[in-house]
Amino acid sequence: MKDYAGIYRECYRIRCFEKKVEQGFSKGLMRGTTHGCIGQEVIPVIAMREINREIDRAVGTHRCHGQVLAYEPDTYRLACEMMGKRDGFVKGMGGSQHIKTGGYLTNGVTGGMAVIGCGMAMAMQKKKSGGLVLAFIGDGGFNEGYVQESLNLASVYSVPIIYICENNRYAMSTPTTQYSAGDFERRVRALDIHYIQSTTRNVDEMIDAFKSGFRFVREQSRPCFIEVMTARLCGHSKSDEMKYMSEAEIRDNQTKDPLKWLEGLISDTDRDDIRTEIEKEIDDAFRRAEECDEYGLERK
Amino acid sequence: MRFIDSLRGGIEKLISDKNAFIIGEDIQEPYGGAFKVTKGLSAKYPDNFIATPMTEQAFTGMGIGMALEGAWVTVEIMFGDFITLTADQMINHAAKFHDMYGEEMHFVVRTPVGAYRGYGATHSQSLESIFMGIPGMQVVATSILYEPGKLLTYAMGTGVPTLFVENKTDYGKQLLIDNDDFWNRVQLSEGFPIIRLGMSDRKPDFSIVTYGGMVSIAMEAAKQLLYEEEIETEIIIPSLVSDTMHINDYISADKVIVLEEGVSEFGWGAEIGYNALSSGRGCKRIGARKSYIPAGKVAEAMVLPCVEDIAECMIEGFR
Ligand SMILES: Cc1ncc(C[n+]2csc(CCOP(=O)(O)OP(=O)(O)O)c2C)c(N)n1
Ligand SMILES: [Mg+2]
Repeated sequence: MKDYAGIYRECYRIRCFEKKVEQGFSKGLMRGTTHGCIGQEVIPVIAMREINREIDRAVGTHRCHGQVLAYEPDTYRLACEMMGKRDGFVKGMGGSQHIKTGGYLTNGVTGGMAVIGCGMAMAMQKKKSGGLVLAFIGDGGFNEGYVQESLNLASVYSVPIIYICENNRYAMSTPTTQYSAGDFERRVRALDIHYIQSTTRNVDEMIDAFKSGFRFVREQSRPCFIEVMTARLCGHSKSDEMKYMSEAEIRDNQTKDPLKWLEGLISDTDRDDIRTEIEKEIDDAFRRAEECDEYGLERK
Repeated sequence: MRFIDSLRGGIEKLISDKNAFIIGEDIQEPYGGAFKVTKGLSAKYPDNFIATPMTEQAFTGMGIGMALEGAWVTVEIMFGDFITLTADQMINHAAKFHDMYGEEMHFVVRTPVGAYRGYGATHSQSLESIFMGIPGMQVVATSILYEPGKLLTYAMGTGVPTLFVENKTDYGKQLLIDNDDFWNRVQLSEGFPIIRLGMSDRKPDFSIVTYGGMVSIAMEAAKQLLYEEEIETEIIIPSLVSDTMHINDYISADKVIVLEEGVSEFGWGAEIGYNALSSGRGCKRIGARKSYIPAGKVAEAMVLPCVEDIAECMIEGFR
């Protein structure tokens, strides 16, 4: 029996956080931009359940709030970071897409972290630490030279890295199906990298797929690539009206929302308890974050 | 000692003292690097050498990732022209991890720069000034006046991501690290050295501020002008070339010539010149013309700075 309630709690935390961020922008509490991961929460949640925080590392993408909260479920610190406050993960200096906490770090250049992750995995191989690197990428990012070069290096050096490609079919407004030649599976397999396909439309199978991918990397000390078919149920960034998706596509995605599926697997009381608990947590986090101070550059 | 031997010695010391990793194309035996800097080392320390396919942006990033895990890493970029391919990793990754995330990173990208050898447009440039204004990283330049091996180990120790430029024409040269019968060599600062070459104890007529491969040209010009025009010159050679704030404090003449091999316009010389002019000194700059670097010998020489440019500047430039 899988821990559906626990997974739901983590996913719901991320969803509530992202909704609150959307409101935060309209209220003017936040500046800059943000990339919500509504609809994709389950990917980082399940992936982070497989990592060993002592020895493993994770590198992320611009769409990182879910990754951060799945790694370190501190909504207060992430809210502070988003508001530029001093209790943020990077003291408010990083903002939405420049976050480091513990063994997780990310950055705002798509694909750039894939090669950093490769280097971390190389260091682990050299140190014989037994750790692995979890590297998130997007379907748009997949075509960056960075990711392609990283895959080649990972395979050539046989380093312990697991790529999780969150394929939400779009890079901003650009449909990957139209702008990417061939398919990811053949391109990955051509480099002798173990490939697994999965989907957020079947969380049960996804959990098993992730488990087998992580097991493969740990046992073989070889790279693995998991392509997770998914859908983003919100705009690419704060101001996106999603005009590039058809009504039908949006509706279909909504009906396949993985959180709805998870809700069907837990009791109504569990669901309601979790919701109440998390909503309060998020409200508190944002209220406290609003009260927190900002740094200038004296933080150094 | 030859420049290249000191450099190789520094790399070997980093490997034996710090278990450093050396990443790059064709750096391993039997090749030993395009300029043979690592010749012989990979046979001795196979675990420390990571030979790569041609993927500069990826293996630069791989080095940064290793450095984030605490490893000491040098990446060799075969020709300085290709540092454009490392730019995103240096500027948007390493520099930000250092400055924004507070990461100490023992990470150096070494690369040979410079022309005068007919290598043509994409194998001759001195592009390092592109990186000099980037916060969170530093640019260090070798010269024959200070052991490049010592400079490399020092740069690695700082924990700041570094672009380390070596001039191609310097590799085979003997180092000038003691006084010779002409020059009085003084190290003006600790840490990243600033070297002064002087002729006497008198206040010189000119200060030439320069770095890297230009040192040889500056020395030749200064000698010539002493003999032919009785002009006395000092040459000031910083090694941390991305820090231009303090160099002015070491200049003793009223007339300053900034000499660089890269294109003069928008170059390093503008920074040095700004500080010199602000302090009431006169200043002129000499660098490459704004042109690609042609392969043909005559045309290449016309684009690049030369001894005559310095002579002309001293005799005519400050009137
Ligand atoms: C090198 C680079 N190019 C462009 C951008 C702007 N940008 C940010 S996210 C994005 C689309 C990314 O698509 P994908 O990799 O599929 O990830 P997703 O946004 O779908 O999660 C773009 C174009 C960027 N951040 N970095
Ligand atoms: Mg996408």
